[in-house]
Amino acid sequence: MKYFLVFYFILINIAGANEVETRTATISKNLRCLVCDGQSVYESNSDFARDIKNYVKKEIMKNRTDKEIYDFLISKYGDSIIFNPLLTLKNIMLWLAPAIFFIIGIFIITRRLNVTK
Amino acid sequence: MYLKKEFKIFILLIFFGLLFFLFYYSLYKTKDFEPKVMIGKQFPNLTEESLFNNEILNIRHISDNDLFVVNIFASWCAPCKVEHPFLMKLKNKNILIIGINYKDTKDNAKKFLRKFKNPYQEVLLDYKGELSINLGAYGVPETYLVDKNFKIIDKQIGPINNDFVEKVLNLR
Repeated sequence: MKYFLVFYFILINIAGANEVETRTATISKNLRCLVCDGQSVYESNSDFARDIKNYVKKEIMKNRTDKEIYDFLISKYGDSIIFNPLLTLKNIMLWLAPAIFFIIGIFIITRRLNVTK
Repeated sequence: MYLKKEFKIFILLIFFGLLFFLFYYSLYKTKDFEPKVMIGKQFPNLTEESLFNNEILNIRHISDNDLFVVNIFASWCAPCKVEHPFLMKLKNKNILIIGINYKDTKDNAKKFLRKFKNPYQEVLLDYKGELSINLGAYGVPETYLVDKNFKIIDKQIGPINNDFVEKVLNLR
């Protein structure tokens, strides 16, 4: 029984550590290394990227949610630190432009089709 | 009908012209960091061990109710040596400067300050770069100008220069 409990706690610790590593990797892949060109924090080995990775890992171990971690980093470095841009007034055109062009395209095609008929 | 067609071409040309300038501008825009993110915000409540003794210090308790400067430096950082005379200039004008020693060893940091003179009232140790993240720093050196209400009023990424010194002295 004693050995079973020891084995059980070791397994739980390994699983917990793996979860922390997986979440750290997932979040780091969505963070831009702001001092490197086109690399994520996960890929980069710069001081900046290593600091951010350590920060993310530490916060995960403190049971912080992904949103709390992202919000903190955005408050310090701005939206540009994350790869998936948030929907804000500044970039609303970026989100709406494809839909607008799609609608214009459909409108032009249907008009042309009606004309040729 | 002919005029209508011309008008359409004109609109298309304007549209593609605008697109061209938008892409051209984005392509050649200098990729400066964004120091503005932290400007106007409250200076974080940072607590860490002192370089000079083993005391745990809070930056807010070091400042003396006046404008102060926080400088991130390291003994291994070459641009830090370049900006050092300007920090000394600020110190000689009685501007309080608090140092954050980034990923360094105590011995090396002390040697650095002995060699180039010490402009800092206090130096907090940032072994893991955690204080720097709290300040939204990208690396070393970086300098923050903080008012007496602990509002960050300016941030310099890279070595400070005479312009920064003048700015601090004028704001005083």
